[in-house]
Amino acid sequence: MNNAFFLAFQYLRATKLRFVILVVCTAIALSLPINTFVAVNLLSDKLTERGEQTPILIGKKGNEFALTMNALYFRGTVKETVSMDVYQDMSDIYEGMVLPLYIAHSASQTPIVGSNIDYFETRNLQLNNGRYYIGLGEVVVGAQAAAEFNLDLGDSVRSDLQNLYNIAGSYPLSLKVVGVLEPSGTSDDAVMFTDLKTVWALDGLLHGHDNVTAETALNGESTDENLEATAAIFMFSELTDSNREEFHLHGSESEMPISSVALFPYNQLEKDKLLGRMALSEDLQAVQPIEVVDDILSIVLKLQQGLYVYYGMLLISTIFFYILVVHLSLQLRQGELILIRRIGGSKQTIRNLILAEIVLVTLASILMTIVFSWVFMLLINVGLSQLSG
Amino acid sequence: MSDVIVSVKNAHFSYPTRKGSSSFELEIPNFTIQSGQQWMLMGPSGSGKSTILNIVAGELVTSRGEVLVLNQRIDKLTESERQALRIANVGFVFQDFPLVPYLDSIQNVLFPYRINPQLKLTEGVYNRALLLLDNVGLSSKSTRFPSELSQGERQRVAIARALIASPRLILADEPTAGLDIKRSHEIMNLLQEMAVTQGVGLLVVSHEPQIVDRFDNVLCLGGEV
Repeated sequence: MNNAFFLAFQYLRATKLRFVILVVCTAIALSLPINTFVAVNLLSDKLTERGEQTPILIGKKGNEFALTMNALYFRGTVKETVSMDVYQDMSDIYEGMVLPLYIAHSASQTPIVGSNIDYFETRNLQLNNGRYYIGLGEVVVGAQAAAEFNLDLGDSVRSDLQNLYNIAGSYPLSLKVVGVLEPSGTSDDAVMFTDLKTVWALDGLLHGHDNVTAETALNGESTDENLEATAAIFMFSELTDSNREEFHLHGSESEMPISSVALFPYNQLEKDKLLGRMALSEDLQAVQPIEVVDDILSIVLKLQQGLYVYYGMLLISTIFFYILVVHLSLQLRQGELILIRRIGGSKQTIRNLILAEIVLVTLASILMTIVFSWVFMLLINVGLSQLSG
Repeated sequence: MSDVIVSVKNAHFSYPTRKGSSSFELEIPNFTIQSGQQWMLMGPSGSGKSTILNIVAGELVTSRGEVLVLNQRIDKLTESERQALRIANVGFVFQDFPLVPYLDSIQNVLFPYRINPQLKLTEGVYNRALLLLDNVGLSSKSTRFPSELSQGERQRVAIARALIASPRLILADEPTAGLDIKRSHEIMNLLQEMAVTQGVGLLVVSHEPQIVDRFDNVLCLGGEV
């Protein structure tokens, strides 16, 4: 067979274009089902892992999917928020970790996650540089977001304008980067973290402006302290050390909005009690993210099965294509085959030659499939980290 | 006394018939090729020249009569035995497909060793291939591919290939077809010279009368010896 492989190699070398087309077509047909399998498994692992790490989410009754995507993967916004007193109630009742989450704003299209400092410990997020936020207007940036926007300590990022046409609404604020996280391989890498008050400031619920004096007030002659400011008063668009003290909340903190509350009960009993209690609530829902993830994955798996049927057909058509190419090439090589027969080559010699060519094309296709799959793995990992971000 | 390489007596060949078509019948003239003899087989197209060549090569078998190659009745041998006899003793030169297009000159000369398991490719064989290429004047073109050679050069490589396995007989089917007279004589000079040098029998099939004077033994189909 050595001579057959030698001749097959020489032949394939002389017909490079045909060889490359065959190899690429076969590699695509082989790598599609493999890559789909790998992608679905990676997606499944990523989603499931995150789902398992967040036992329960509390939010307004409604779309469980939107609530899960917002709280776990920072995608989209919830239609209706809950108030901070839901978080305070849960903190009072349960001994497990309770985290408020408010995800409604972004800076450079990167979600801003409002929570408290316990979030980092609960998600096991480590600082690579700097410190955690301690004051208003400070953000800690995920590793991927920091790399993407070249952010480092001391840099400023401006929040995105929520509604361009609402001139009476809140203004974008300039936020200061005080920390950068280590990569975690989760959706936390592609976001910025800040405290809830900063997010409320982005909402305009907590704001700062020049002092209202009798000269700048609508009711300047009023003798009591309730002065009503005119629209001309200067609103702070940046949180700085000098104006931070001027920012204040209008209303009670317990009435301020949050997207959801994430609960990490200590044990199953506590979890079941919580779910039972929430089932009786008229306006709140308790969502187990892992169940939502399972629902998503069941749809993905059905799609995957459909794709496998399609890939099977593609593979069969590739095999027929290959048979056709071999058949046509043998017709084109009739002269060579007659020469082989005339100078003593047997039918077995010709069979060996064709077999050697098929083996070489198949080996090259497998190698190409490995390369395709490796490149795909790199891309899917980047894609999944972006998806999870 | 010279060895008899090929002996044909009272041989008759007919192609298998298809329904409704007449068969091809060929009465083969008697002839004997002895070691070192050079024969030419000529006749018009369709007269059966190539058929006789294929019968001597053992690719076709006569329906009656006797064809001896190196004292073996070719019609009594199995296909694999005929193949073994051909590999060991017969070299071929063709006009229609002289060389394998994807192999360079040296690999074309070595081609019989690549496709016949009973021929073992050794360093000695490789050196012999280089020597043969030198003998046909192509030592500087051993790494050229057929597409990089002229038609005459391709035939020279084919002659070297025909001699690589040290055959007892060379069968040449229209080796000068498509060549001008000057190049035809060059190729025939080389073929006959190599046959003499290597001491092998030569049977050339051609319909070109300009080379007939080069042979002492000419077999005319439809004519006489």
